[in-house]
Parts: sequence; C-alpha cells; structure tokens
Amino acid sequence: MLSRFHKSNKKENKNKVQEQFVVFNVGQEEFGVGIKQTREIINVSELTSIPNAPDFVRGVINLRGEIVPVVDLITRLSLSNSSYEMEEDKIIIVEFDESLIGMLVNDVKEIIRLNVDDINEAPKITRGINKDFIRGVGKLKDRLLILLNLKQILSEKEVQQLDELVLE
Amino acid sequence: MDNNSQYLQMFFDESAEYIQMLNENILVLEQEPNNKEIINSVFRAAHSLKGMAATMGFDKLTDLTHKIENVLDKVRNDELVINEEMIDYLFAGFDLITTLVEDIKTKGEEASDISNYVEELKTYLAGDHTAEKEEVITKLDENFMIDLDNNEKNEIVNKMKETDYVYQVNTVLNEDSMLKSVRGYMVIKKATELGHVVKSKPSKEKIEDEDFGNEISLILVTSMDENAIIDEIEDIIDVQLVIIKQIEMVKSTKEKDNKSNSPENSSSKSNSKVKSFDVAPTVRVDINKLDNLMNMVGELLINKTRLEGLKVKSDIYQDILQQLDRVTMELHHVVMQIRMVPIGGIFNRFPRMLRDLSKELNKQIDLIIEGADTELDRSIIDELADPLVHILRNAADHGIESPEARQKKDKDAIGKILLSAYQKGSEIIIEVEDDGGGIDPDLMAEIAIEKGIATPEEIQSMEKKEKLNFIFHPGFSTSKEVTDVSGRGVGMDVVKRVVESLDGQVFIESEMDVGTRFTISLPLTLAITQALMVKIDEEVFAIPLSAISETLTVNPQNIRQVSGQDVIVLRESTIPIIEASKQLNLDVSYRDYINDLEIPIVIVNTGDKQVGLIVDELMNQQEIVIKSLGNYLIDAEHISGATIIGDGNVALILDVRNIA
Repeated sequence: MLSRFHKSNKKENKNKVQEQFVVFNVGQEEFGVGIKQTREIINVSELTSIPNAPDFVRGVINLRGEIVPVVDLITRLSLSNSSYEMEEDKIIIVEFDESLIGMLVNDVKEIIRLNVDDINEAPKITRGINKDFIRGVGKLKDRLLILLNLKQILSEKEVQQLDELVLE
Repeated sequence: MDNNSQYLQMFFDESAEYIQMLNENILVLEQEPNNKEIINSVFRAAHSLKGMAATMGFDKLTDLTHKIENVLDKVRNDELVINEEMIDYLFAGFDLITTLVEDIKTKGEEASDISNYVEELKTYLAGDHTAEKEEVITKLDENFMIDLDNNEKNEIVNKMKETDYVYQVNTVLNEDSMLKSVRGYMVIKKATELGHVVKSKPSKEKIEDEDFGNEISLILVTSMDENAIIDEIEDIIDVQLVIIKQIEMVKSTKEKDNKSNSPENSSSKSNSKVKSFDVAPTVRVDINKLDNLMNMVGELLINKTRLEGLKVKSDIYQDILQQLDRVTMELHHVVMQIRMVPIGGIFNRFPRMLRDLSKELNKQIDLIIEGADTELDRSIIDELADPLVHILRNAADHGIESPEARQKKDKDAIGKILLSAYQKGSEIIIEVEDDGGGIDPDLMAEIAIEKGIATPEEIQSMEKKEKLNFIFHPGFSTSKEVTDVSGRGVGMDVVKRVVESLDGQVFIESEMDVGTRFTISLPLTLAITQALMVKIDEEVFAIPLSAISETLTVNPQNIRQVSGQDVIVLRESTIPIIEASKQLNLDVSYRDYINDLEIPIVIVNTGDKQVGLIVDELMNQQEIVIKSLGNYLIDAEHISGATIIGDGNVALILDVRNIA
C-alpha cells in the first residue's frame, strides 16, 4: 500500500519539477534566489567596511561569531535608480562555496514555487543587468522574476574577467 | 559503508606511519648495516604493513610488501649484505608502496603496475649477493658460537661504556701444544687485561683441567679495536689463529637495552613492540574536531570580553568574571597545546629527499637537522611542508656546488645543509642554511632588469638585501637551465606567499662562496593572539603585538623631513612615519596630523625594517580571536583577517608586513 502511494507521488513530481525561491526587492526590480542556497534572512546590523576590498563588498558583519562579507547588489548589478535605506533593509545570507555570504537587499517579500518549465533563459540584456549574473527569468502569472546566478555574482574572479572583456 | 571508510582512514593513517618508519629506518640501516635492532624494526614494519593490506584486501600491496618482507628477512638472516644498491631497491619498493596507497586514496583501487619492480627485484635477488660469510665464521665449529643468556647480556650492558664494543674472540691453539691448559689460561688472562670477559667457552675450570679441544671462544667487552686485540693475543705462545667478530649491542639507555636483550621473547611480544615505535601513547583525533574546539574557545573568549564590557558593579559579578577569565585562559592554553605537534613530523621526510637529490645531482650533501621537537600549531605545520621542500631543493640544486667546484674553493667536498627550528618569544623560527656558493646580488639585479621586474635606475639605489629579495618575486628563476629539481620559475614566490598566508615572514641572507640562509618566522598559533586596538578613521583595527615594537606619541615639532618623507628620530635611528589611513586608501584628507598636538604612532616591524604608523587613537591591548575574511576577501590589501570585539562589532586585523 505504502509503496504504491510513494510511487504515484513520485510520478506526479516528475511531470512538474518545482523549485522554491526567495523573492526579494532591490529598487523596483524583483529577484529570486534558490531556497536551498539560502541560510537565513537578518536585519541589517553594524557593518564594518573593508579598505581595499572590491567596491561591491559593502563590508563584513558578525553573524553569531562568524565573519560574513556582505555584497552590495545595487553596485554589483549596476541598478542605477536604487538606494539602500539601511534601517529597513535586509541581508539574505546565502551559502556559497562552503562559506557564507550576505546580500544586501531592500526587502524580502515571499517564498514561491516555480515549475522548472516556467524558467526561461535570460534575454541578452535584462533591464540593464549583465546576462552573466542571471540564471534565468521566472514567469509568475503577470510578474517576471529575475533569478540570480550566485556563482557569477559572488565570485570576484569573474568580475575581473568581465572587466577585461569590456576593455577589449 | 561507513564502517569501511572508517577502517580505510585508519589504514591510510597507519600505512603512512609505517612507510615513514621504513624510510627512516632504512636510512639508519645504510649507516649501520649491522644494527640488528633496526633490521628487526624494519622487518616488523613491513610485516605489519603487509598484514594491514591483506586485511583490507589490497592484493597488489600485499604482494609487494610480501616481496619486500622476503628481502628484509634475508637481510635479517645474513643471507643478503646491505649495500647501496640494495638500499636503492628497498627505497624504490617503498615508493611503490606509497604510490599504491595514494592510488587507493584517490582512485579507490590499486592502479599502478608493480610487475616491473617485482621482476627487477627477482633478478637482483637471483644474482649472487649472498653475504660472503667471513672465512672465519665458516671455519668455526658451530659449537663454539657462544650463546648468551639474558643475565649475561645484562652484564654486558652494565659493563659497557659508550666507547665499548663487544667481540667474540675465538682462539685456536697449536694442536701439538704441550701446555694447553697454561696457554688457555694465558689467553683468558690476556683477555681480562684487555677488557671485561663476560663468558668463555670452555669455562675457566675446564681450561684449567685441560678438558677442551684446541679452541677457546670468549665474549670480550672492550674499547680496543679488533686488530689490537688480535695482536695482543697472537703474542701468546702456541696461539695459531685468532678470529674476532664484533657483536652488535645497543649501548645507550637501559630501556633500549632491555629490548635488545630479549630477542628470544620477541615473537611472543611482537605486538607490544610494534606499538612501542610510537613515541608516546596517543589518541588519534580528527583535526576538524580540534578546529571546532578552538572555534568554540574563541567564541567563549569573545563572550567573556563582552561580559567584561558590561561593567556591572557587583562583587559577585567581579568574582565570577575572574573565575571565567582563568578558566577561558587555561582552556585556551590546553587547546593550543593539543594542537601543537613537533615539526619533526615534516622534517623527517627530508633526509630521504636529500639522499635522492644528492644522487640525482651527483653532489655530496649532508643534511643536519636540529630542533625537530620544536612544536607548532598543526595547521601551520601542514602548510609548511611544501615551502620547505622548495627551499631545500633550491639549496641542494643551486646552493651546494659540485664536489669538484667545492674542492677548488678549498671547501669540504661534502656540502652541508642545516635545517633547524627553534622558538623565539612567541615566534617559531625555521632556518635553512647551506654552505654553498651563495647568491650573487648583482646577478639577481641583472635578471630582474632582464625580466622587467625592475629598471636599471631602481637597481642603482638598491641595497644588497633588496637585490636578494628579487628571489621572492613571481616568475623569477636564476637557474640557467631548467632542471627536474628546481628552476621552474615558481618556487620561492610560492614560499613567500604560503608563509605570509600563515602570518609569517621569510628572509634571505647570502654571502658569495660562504652560503645562503633562509629564515622563516611564524606565529606559534594562528587562532588567538594578543593585539593592540587602534582607531583609524573612526573604525577600530587590531594590530598583532608580535608586529609591534613600541607605541609612542610624538609632538609635531619633532617630525623631520628626509627627501620629502616625514620621519622621527628614535634613539638615534631614523624611522619613516606614514598614515595608516593613507595606506588603507581611506577616503580622508591626509597629513592632518601635522596640526595635532600629539600624534599617536605605532612602531611596527615590516619586512626587516621599522615604520611608524600614524593612527587616530591608541586604545587597549587585548586577546583577539583571529577569523578569516574568507576566500572572498583574501586579496584585501593590508588586511589579514577580522576579529569580534567586546560590543559584538567586527574589527579588522591590520597586516603590517608590507605596509611600507
């Protein structure tokens, strides 16, 4: 009995592979990041800025004894018409490459499920954001969700390469 | 599955230990081919390795170790003589064992082929290498070999001094001697004069009764050499032949002697003996657990500091705080001690490496190791192996000259490399010194220009030290030809990088034709250190005390200028002063300090010079827990990490090594 139940359940899932995303705002844009990579969401605490660090690193915070760098998404994604309020803002802590990294965002809205089929490849330029930073665009009824490619956003090496590309 | 992987880990750990033991002991054996104790330990190690491999079901490894064990067995039974060729074969075998174990670790199976080696070994063994037993021994009647019981062995050990040898002296008297008992007695008497006679066969009484053939065997403990003894005894009338054979005895401590004294018991006790290779009874602990422990101690420390910051006015509070302070300090100390391991753990692989290198390079090199018992944090030691390999290879390849060249320079043909470690304050110093050709600073400068690292103008004003420092520049290799050993253009820059990532520093000194010395200084431990807290542009920074020579406040009137650079004169030495905020590229206006009444300055040791770092405010001194900024921010200049201070905020740790 039980085994049959399991089977049928599995089948249903196969038809509709779903993924969960944390939806957040930076400026006017709506973004999504995979829930599996998300560790927690915290209020903005005292940020210690780091001299000589890349400009998109806003600083570091103390997360229960661990030092976590915080990425400034506005700078990183070149979102020109946005700004941080700090008191209202949130930090989404994601796990990347076995270390924790925070992303400074304006607001965290909800957690949604998306069918994998509903995720499309990003057009070359999506509202001014470099395509490399985007994993795909999720369709959600009448909304478009920009799903971030953490690997590109959070690794500095890629930036240098990108900069070089631009120069060329 | 889990169980299996657990056994596998044990297998890896233990096989690494046995392989290391084999390598070390074979080196000793090469020096002392007659040392039975060593042969036995080598044999036991190979045997244990075989047993482990068989249990785990690694057929090739079992086969290989079995073959090697056979060779060692032959050596043990005097059927094979130990010579360089054989040692080479054994080393090749050990390398193959290492490769197989490595295969298992990385690929999960024994991928490497051992058949070639097994064949070679077979051919070698088939050749006539059996020990030519000295004529002497074969001549002797087996009955005349003297067996010693334990009491007699103890007697030998007790009588023996450091310089003493143990001989079996067999004397053959003229068959037609008329006064055999007298001659026999004279032999014994003479031997007693020469040293201590432990036992004779036949016994004294039997000799006096003339109840023996024409041979007398005796065990003699003396400091004289074989020839002198033969001369003395042959002087006795009617002595036809004196045959002498040295017997190996372990001389030093009693404890060791007990071991050598009871070879008869060895089979029954073999298990406990193998264990006794380990220096002390130990518990194997996963290094990650120790890291976790250290992290937790760190957090405890942070919270203690926060608690202190509360400043509650209560006697009980103060009391608890003091207790807490004591416990955290002790806990920290103990955890640090647990993490400390002797540096010998990496040093002991170098004798083997140097032996291989000197063969490869056709040089004669003596490696002298000092301070192998110096202890360092485990995580530092692990990282240190590669840099030391680079430096030692460089010393052997570029430093030590060929024997011919050395003789021309009136040097000993055998080059020396001294590898030493010692503690100096809260630092560990590791030195690699060779007595080779040294490094020509001008040649270094030339190459630097050639490779575009420096301009001729820059070279002009450079001191010798700075020219030598080019060796640490990436992409710099002085080797005229690229060899297997070194000179791939990487190496010394990697050394510098690794050492700096461990919060250490590396220096070079060199004198032409005298030698070169590399000095690595490292902090005792990475995790917790004393630091001075300072304020720079409203932010709190920590400067490790190990980098600070002193702090002072200076009146602007005492600031002088030397070629545009602000300096202060401190006890007759001129020290440049620079603004910390400027070095950190902070967005503030510079050189404001000149209007201040008092300028707080921290004198730091950067590289091998001193620099005065101007800060906004000197705060307190405290223990800090060093936390990494992660791979993400590893390149942030002049920042080596972060720590959490009393109010829960993050303070950055200033890396002053390259600050000026």
